[in-house]
Amino acid sequence: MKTFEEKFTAWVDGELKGRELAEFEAELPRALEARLEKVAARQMGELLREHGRAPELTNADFFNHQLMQRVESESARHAAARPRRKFAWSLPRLAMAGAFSLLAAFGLYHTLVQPVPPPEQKNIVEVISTGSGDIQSKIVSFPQYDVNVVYINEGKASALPATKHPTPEKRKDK
Amino acid sequence: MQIDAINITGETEDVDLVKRCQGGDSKAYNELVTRYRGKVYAMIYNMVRNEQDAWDLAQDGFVKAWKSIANFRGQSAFYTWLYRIMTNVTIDWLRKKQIQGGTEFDDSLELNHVEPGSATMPKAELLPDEKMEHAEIRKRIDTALEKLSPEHRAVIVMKEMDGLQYNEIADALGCSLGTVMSRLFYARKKLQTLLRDVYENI
Repeated sequence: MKTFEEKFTAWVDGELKGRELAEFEAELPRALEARLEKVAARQMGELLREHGRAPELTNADFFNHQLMQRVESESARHAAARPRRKFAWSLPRLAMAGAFSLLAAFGLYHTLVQPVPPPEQKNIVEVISTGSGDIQSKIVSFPQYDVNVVYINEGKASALPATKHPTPEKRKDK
Repeated sequence: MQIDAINITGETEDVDLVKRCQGGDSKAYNELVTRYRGKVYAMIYNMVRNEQDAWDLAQDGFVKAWKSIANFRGQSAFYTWLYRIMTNVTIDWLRKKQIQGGTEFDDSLELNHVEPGSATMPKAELLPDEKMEHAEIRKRIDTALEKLSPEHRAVIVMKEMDGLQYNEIADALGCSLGTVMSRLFYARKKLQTLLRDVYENI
C-alpha cells in the first residue's frame, strides 16, 4: 500500500497509470492546487537541470595521474601487507593433525617414559610363638588389601568345645 | 595474447577491463577511470556543490573502488557498482561534515503539516526588469541544496539531475522504492519553498 507521499511523487513524475492514476486524481483534496504543485515541481526540476549542472572536470589528465599514483601506492602497500601464504585449516586437515598429534604423543610416551612396574605385593607372614608345642599361630598380612589375618592352629590340645550336631538316630519321631 | 571484447564504438567492454583490473592491471583501471571520471565528478559535484571537494571525493571513491574491485562479481553494470560506491563516499562525507560543522539540515520543516497539493509559498514578486543572472541562480541552487540532508539531497540530485529511475536510486542508496519516493516528496517540498521565486521568475 503506497502512502500519499509516494503516490504524489509518482503522480508528479508521470509514473501513475490507468486505474491507479484515476483513483488518485479523484481522491485529491484540492485538485487545482495539486496540479499547480505538479507544475511547480517540474519547473524546479528544469531549473536544477539547466542551472545546477556541474561544471566540466578541468585538468582531467592530472586527475588520472594523481589517482593512478594513489592506486599504485595502494597496490604496493597491499602487496607488502599480504601474508605470503595462507594456510587453510579445513576440517579434514584439523582431524588429521589431531590424530597425528595423538599418535606422536603415544609413541613418545612409550619410547621415552619406561613404565615402572608396581612393587610386588608379598604377603608377610609372621609366626608367633605361643609357648605351647601344639598351638601354632601366625599373622599373615595382605598389604594390598590392608588386612591382617591371624591363624591359630590349636592342634590336639584345643580347649574349644567341638560342635555337636544331633544325629538322625536320636530324634524321636511321633 | 589477450583479446578483449570490443563494443560498437570500438571501446573495450567494461567487463574485460574489470577482469584485467582484478588481475592487478592498473592500466586497465586507468582506462575505466578515463571513461567515467566526468560522470562521477558531476554526480559528486551536484551533491557537494564545490569543485575541490568533488575532485577529492571522486579520487577517494576511485581508490576505494580499486581496492574493492576483486569483489565485483558482475551482477550489475560496472558503472552501477561504481555509482553506488561514489554515492556512499559522498553521503558519508556530507554526514561527517554535518557533524563536524554542526550544520543542521532542517528536514522537519513542514513534514508534519504538508497539505496535499498546497502551494509551498506565496508567489514571489517579479524582479524588476531583468532576469537573474546565471551565476546568481546557481548560487541560490547551491544554497538551497546545502539546506537538504545528505539523503534528501541525494534523491533530488539523482532524480532531477542524473535522471535516474526510482529503482536505480533505491539500488544506489540501498533503500526501498517507497523510501526513495517519500524522500523525493519532502525534498521537493523543501526546495520549492527555497527556490520558488527563482524558478517562477526566469
